[in-house]
Parts: sequence; structure tokens; C-alpha cells
Amino acid sequence: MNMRTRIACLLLLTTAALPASGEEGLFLHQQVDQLITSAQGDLAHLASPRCSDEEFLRRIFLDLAGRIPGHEEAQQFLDDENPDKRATLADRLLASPRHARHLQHHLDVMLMQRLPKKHVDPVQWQEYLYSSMLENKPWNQLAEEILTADGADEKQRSRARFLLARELNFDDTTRDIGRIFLGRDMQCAQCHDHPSIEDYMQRHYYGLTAFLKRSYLFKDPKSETTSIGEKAEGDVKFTSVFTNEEGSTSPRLLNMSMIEDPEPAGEPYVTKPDKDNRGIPRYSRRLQLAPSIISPENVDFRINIANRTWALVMGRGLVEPLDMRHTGNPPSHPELLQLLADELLANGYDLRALIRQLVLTETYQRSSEQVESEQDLPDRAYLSAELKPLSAEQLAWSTMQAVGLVSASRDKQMALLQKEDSDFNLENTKMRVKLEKAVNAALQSHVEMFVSMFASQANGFSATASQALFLENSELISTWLTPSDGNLVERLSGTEKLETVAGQLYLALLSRPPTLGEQKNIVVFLQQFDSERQAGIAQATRAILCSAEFRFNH
Amino acid sequence: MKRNTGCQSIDHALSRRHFLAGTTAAGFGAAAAIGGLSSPVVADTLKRDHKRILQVYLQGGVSQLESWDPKPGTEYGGPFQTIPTSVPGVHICELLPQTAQRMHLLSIVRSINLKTDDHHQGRLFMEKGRRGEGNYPYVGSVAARYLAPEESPLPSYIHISTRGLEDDTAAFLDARYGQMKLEGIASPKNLGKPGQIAEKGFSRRNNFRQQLNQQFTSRRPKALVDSYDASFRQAAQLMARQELFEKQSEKELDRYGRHDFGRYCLLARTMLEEGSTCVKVTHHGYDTHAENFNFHVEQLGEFDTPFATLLDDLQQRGMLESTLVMVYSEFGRTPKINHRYGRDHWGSAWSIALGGCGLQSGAVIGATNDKGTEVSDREVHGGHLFHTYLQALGIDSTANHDIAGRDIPIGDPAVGSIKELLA
Repeated sequence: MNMRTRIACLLLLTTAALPASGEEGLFLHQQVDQLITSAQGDLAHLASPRCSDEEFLRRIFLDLAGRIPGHEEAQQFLDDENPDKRATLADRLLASPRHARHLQHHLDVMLMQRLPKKHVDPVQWQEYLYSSMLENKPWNQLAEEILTADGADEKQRSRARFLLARELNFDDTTRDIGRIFLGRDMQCAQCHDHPSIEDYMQRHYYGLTAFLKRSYLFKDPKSETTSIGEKAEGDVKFTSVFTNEEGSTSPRLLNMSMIEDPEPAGEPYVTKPDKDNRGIPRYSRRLQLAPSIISPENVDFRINIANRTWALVMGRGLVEPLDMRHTGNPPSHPELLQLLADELLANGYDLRALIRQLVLTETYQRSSEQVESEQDLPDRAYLSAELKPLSAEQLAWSTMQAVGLVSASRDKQMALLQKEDSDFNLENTKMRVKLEKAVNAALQSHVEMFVSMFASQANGFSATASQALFLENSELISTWLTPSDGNLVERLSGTEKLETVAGQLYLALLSRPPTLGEQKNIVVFLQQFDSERQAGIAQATRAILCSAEFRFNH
Repeated sequence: MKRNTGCQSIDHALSRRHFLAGTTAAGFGAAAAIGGLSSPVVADTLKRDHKRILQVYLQGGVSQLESWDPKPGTEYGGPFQTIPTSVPGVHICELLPQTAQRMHLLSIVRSINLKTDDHHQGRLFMEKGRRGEGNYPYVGSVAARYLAPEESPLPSYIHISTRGLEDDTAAFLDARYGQMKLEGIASPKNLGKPGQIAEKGFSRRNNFRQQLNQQFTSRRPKALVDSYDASFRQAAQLMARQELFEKQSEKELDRYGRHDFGRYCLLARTMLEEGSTCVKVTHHGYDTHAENFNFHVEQLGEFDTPFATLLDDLQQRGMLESTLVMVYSEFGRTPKINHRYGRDHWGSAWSIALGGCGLQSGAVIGATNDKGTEVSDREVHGGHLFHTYLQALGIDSTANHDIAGRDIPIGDPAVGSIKELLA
């Protein structure tokens, strides 16, 4: 049964009230909801209701802009009576430079896993990712650029960080290409066919290594920069540690056909490798890698990025862990994963378009509050929204947004830019980008502080005493809670009514008004501080910054 | 899942003669200093029941030939001689005179073959009991998970080191069982002002935070928020115990030594006494590709006294019978001596020392051949050792972790413990 008919069947089975046009007329986000709901089966009635505007507001800002909304942005959305305001906000955020910044952070961690600086300046690499995301560069193009780069051309050096920071170590690089671009961690297949995972064979591992094996790091004796050179010969042989069986392979991507070298004809080199010259062969095995990976014939490439994009938005992959897709660990929703992968192929790997469809789904817009909290419900059913721990960058930007630092910095940078150019205005896209870059540069050192505290390699959420001590006691956050520059504490210190203070605190920090009970709790809390109102507000702010509601995207 | 093996009282099993042998020569100063402590011999039941680990990690790979498996007078033996130990018939390298006198508290495994010569891979195998990068917890995190009291007064797994490498030790276990890194004896960062925890502002804020979390979790999954909460409880406990850090007793430092490793060992004792479940002390600098012999004189010279003193103190306090002691590396060093008088990475025939809780003492397990170039008897790897550590602690390493309904074998099911080492 093909996808279309399958969807048609689902439609007949699950809902009566469908658009008359049938599946042809369904948007992708509607098809996604159909598949999720139908898989819920008997549990569907336990699905949480659509989330409130307040929940949606905080979630969509974190997921698209990488930070919580400012209090004015929040108020504006909550007061808006337009029934389409959710989609409108999503589109506004998707078009903002902050979205490119958020995707830059996400892709940087996904591709580089916080590897230290080596050969290529990480700041330039991050700028490369940022500008790629600003122009919404298709994922297949980005992958091709990264995997092809040799670092020799100064203008395009930044994109070689993926290979150069790994020092072209064959094992690390092969493994990471498998994990990050194909969703398959073949590490065990390095020494023998994987004992428990039938699909991961030693020849798959070495077929991938064979693309790289002739390449080497070349350090130019004059400029002292390191780039990638390649030889025109060398084959990959491997031996199983279990069976001692030997094999050899030319470049080969998983089960696709082996790529044989062309018949040798004449001089094999454009530039012969020696100690002064980077070797450039007439035929490069390494340059066959990117076209093979992104080839439509290689289904793994699109399945992997579809799964990773879904996980980015929904908080868990259809395949978990994200890099362990094999027959023994099938996706929770195989048809859905295929649908998303096909969509990416059809739309030319436009990640932003896919993200847009995903945030429009009802699945995304469920409340994170469970209908039934006594019963253990399966996570894979998507009955309620996942709690997503904020990334180090999201936490940094949200904290700075909440205490008023982002607005202050924005005003300051805006004034500087206006001084430079009297025509500066934010109607102009280029100028919006300029402002975003200036604010980002001004606050970057704080973000790095958070990254050093909160970045973790763990798949799941991790919380340590060191992090708690940082949130509770660090000088950095204490400074932000000292009244200055119209920041949150200064703004609220002058407010007379404690109820108003409570409302403003909740709006600035949690993007929602407090319930009556919560308002009362804050008032009681602030009253304990009597005349030391400022201290009370600072303590209340810090308590909320340390709360779970702030720490998670929910 | 627990298996009640009960801890064998190694200390009680000792003959007086052995005990004396262990405290002569080196022992005088040490014994005098211990005498100055208040009732060191009587440990309370609580401490006795709480099983723990002391890990001494010799980072870079200590040479088995210059420590636990010397081969003097052979082709690759190097310049050092062996010395007798407090266990008749067991000899170790002369670079460890103090440790030699406490050999009756320890056992040696001389037949480890990890089949890797890579620092990272070797360390992971020794810590996780499984080969490779798989997402499994370190032995310290497993111990913390199953042995730490519900409200552990200090972080349950502490690592005293000077380098900034952060390991993800908890893997799929809750982050609260992950390692907390202390940079030497310095207070953890952001510990706050002394006495702050007693201030009204702080306690009000803390109560308010808890109130917020209760509201938030009433209809949301609790696990994530619980582990977030736990990190704040631990932070508060650390803040309340600031006096544990920075200042150390001069009298104790006379015994332990004033160099970093001496100070770390003393801090390790304090952390174990204060209720941490696993304390790891890293002694850096054993990766001796050049000048192996000079470096081992220096390194082991620094190691020997503080380690022996720490063993004495644990024993005096009655804690050794509930504390598993591991002295280990990521691998050993090549028998072959290179042209820079160095020894290189060598995972295929090397040794570690173990002792304390639940382990046979004074034993030597396995052997290497005459030249030390391969294991000749009772070959084991990180998987066997991992089962052995946990079973010594009374944890059934053949059982499963129950992680969100998924069963994950605690130890590698393909191998088992070194049975003859378990008392």
C-alpha cells in the first residue's frame, strides 16, 4: 500500500469531518496529526487539550527564537484577538534573525558536539552556520559544503571545521559521519560485524572510511595553516577480530554500490604531494563522499534529518536514540517518518518549511499538562507535550531576556547603529540582521559562561549541584539583579502595588499572568521583606529563575 | 536486585602478626598521629553499613613493571629491584615501600588484557565495564545509584582532580549520580557567602522555589523535575558544609604530605567520612613515553605515603571493611623500552591493586609470562573487573537496571566476576 492510499484509509477510519477534498487537500501538518492520532488508538481520549495561548507563546519563542518572549512581546500576543495569531507569530519568528541564530546553535552542537578549537576558529564556523541559516540554505547543500571542504581556500576555510577539528582521524570522522548524517552509529562495526545489530556490517564501516583514507592533514610550511591533501592511491583492508576474516573495500555508502576508481590514465596528480605541496589527485575519493551521502538514492540521509528535525521540535525522536536507527530499533511511527523524509526531498531540504509545518500541528500544540497523571502513559504516543530542558544557549538567552539585559543591550546597540547611520530602521531586513549581530556579540561572553556550565553530552536531562550553585550564587546573575539600565528589578522597584509587581514578574519570567493563588504567594513573599522591597524582588526573581517552570520548555 | 553478601571483615581476619608487620618501619609516625584522634577505632554502625568506593586513578597509565608486577633482571625489567611485602611470597617494586607494608590489605590482579592502547577507550572500559563509547554509567555512578542514602549529605560521587575534563559518568542513570568534579581542595565554585544558608532571605527564596515546583509538577511528569530539585538540595548541603574545603589540618598534612596528591588524599578521607559513596582521586602524570624510570621514581614517590596513610586511616576508623579500594589506570606500559627510555601504551598485560570491602586480601590473581609480554594465566578485562567491584559492594551485577521499564544489564552479560577474589 503506498503512502497516499494509506493516508486515505486512515482518514476514513479516524475522522468523519474532513475537508471534502480528501488527502490531496491536506496540509502536511494535518497529515502528521492524522498519523499521530491514529497510532494513539485507545489512548486517544487521554490526549491533553490544545495548550493555552500562554503555553504556546513561551514554547514557540523558545523553539523558534531560542529565548522566552520579552514582557512587551508577551503582552502583545496575549491581547491579540486575531484567531490566526499563533500561525502569524510562528511566521514572524521564523523570518527573524533570531531563528537563524537558534538554528546555528542547534546545528553547531549537532555537528561539532562542543569540540574544542582546532585549526579553524569556531567563531568563523558559527558565522558560516548563521549566514547559511539566514539564507535558509537547504540541508543537502550545507552537508555537501561541509563534507567537501578541504580548508585550502581561505574564504571557505570556516566550513572545514567539521573535518579539521576531528583532525581527519579516520575512526572519529567515520563514526560521526555515520551518526550525524545517516543516523547510524556503526562504531562496533569497526572491529567486527555488529554483534547485536544485524544491519551494521564491517564493510559498511570501512566502505565509509574508504572515502577518507587517502586524505591527510597537510601543514603548509610557509603559512603554517593546516588543510586536507589527498593521495592518488591506497586501499582499505579490514580484519574481523572475531573471525580473522579479511575484507577490502573501495568507497561505498552502506548498501549502495561500490565506487570504483576510474582506469588510471597518465599522470595521477594535479599537484603531487610533497613536503611543500598539498597533494591534489586527478581523481579524489574524498570528493565522492558528499554526492553519495546527499544522493536521493541514499534514503538514510533524509530519514536522519527528518528524525532530527522532528526531535528538535517535539522533544523526542521518532527513532531514539537519534543515531541508532536499525531494524532492531524501528521508529515509533514509520509512516510518519517516511512522510517527513519524502517532504524534505520534495521541498528541496528546506528545514524551515518543515519546522513551520511541525509547529502548526495539534501534536505540537498540546498542553504539557497530562489529563491522566496517575497512569504511566507511553511517551511515544505524544499525548501531551514533552518537557524539554532548555539548551545552554536557550537558558542563557532566556535568563538575560527575563532580567531585562537583552532589551537594554538592544537599545544600546540600536542607538549606536543609528548614530552611525541616520537611516537605520528595523523595517529593513539587513538592518534587523545587523542589530541582531550586534546584540549577539555584546552578550556572547555571558552565553559562553552558561555553555561552560550547562553544556552536556548526555542524551537526557542532567542537573548537577555545580549548576544549581551557579544559578543560586553566581556573581554574574547577582549583577543582573542589581537595579540598573531599566532592568527588571529597577522597573519593578518603583511599582507600588504588590499585586502589580507579582503580575509583572510572572509576565517577564514565565510569560503568563499568575493565578490568584500564585499572586497571593508572591505578595506574601514580598511582604516578608518589608521596606527592603528591592531585595525582595531580586530574591523572588532568582527563585523563579531557579524554578522548574523556567528551566524547561513545556 | 540486591544480593546480601554481607561484607567480610578483612580487618578482623588479620592476624596480629600481619598487622604488626604492616605498621613497623613506616608505621611509627603514622601510628602516633592516629593516636591523637578522638576514638578512631570505633566507627558507628551507620558508617559501617554504608558501602563506598575509594578510587585512586593513576592517570596516563602506571607501569605494571614499576609497580605491581615487577620483573627485575629480565630483558624488559628496567633498573628497579623488588621488595618483599607484608604478604609472604608477594613482591612488588621497590618504588612502593609504604604500600608494600600494607599489602595484606590489598590484592593484585596481574592479568588484565583490554585489547586497546588508547587512553580514552581504556579509561571507558575500566570505568564502565564495557568496551567502547556505549552509553553506560561508570562504576562510581552505579555505586551511587544503589548505595547512596536517599538524602545523601554530599554529592554521592566526587572526583578530586586538577584537570577540567568532564565525563558523563551517569549515562542513563539520573544526573544526581553523576560525578561532581572538585578542582583540588578548592571549594566548589559559587559556594556563596559563609553562613548564607542561615540567612532569612536565602531560606525564604528556597522555600518559594520549592512551592513553585510543586505547582508545576502537579500534572506533569515528575522525574525530570525531581532530578532538577535534587541538584538544589545537594547545592544547599554543600553550602552548609563550607568548612570541609580549603583549610586542612596541619597535623594531618604532616602525615599525608603537603603536595597536591597528599592534600587530595586527605580530602578524599574527609569526603568518605562525610558520607560520599564514591570518591575518586586522580594522580596525574603517568604517561611516560620518555624517561619512564625517572618519572616513576617521582610519581610513585609522591603516591606511596599518602596512599598508605589513607589506607591506615580507613582501617583505623573501621571503614576499610565497607570501602572498596581501587588503584587503577586506563592501561599499563609496554615491556619494551623505547629509545627515549620511555614505555608506551600497553593494554594487553598489566595490573591493578584492589582491596577492602568484600574482597579477598593478600591475593595475587593471574600472571604474565617471564618477560611480561603477555598474560599467561587467568586473563581478565574491564568487564570482569566491573562485575567484581560491584559484587564486592553487594550489588548483583548480573541483575538489570530498570530504566523507564527498559531492562539494561548492569554488568556485561557475556562475562562474570573474578570469583576467587570475592571473599
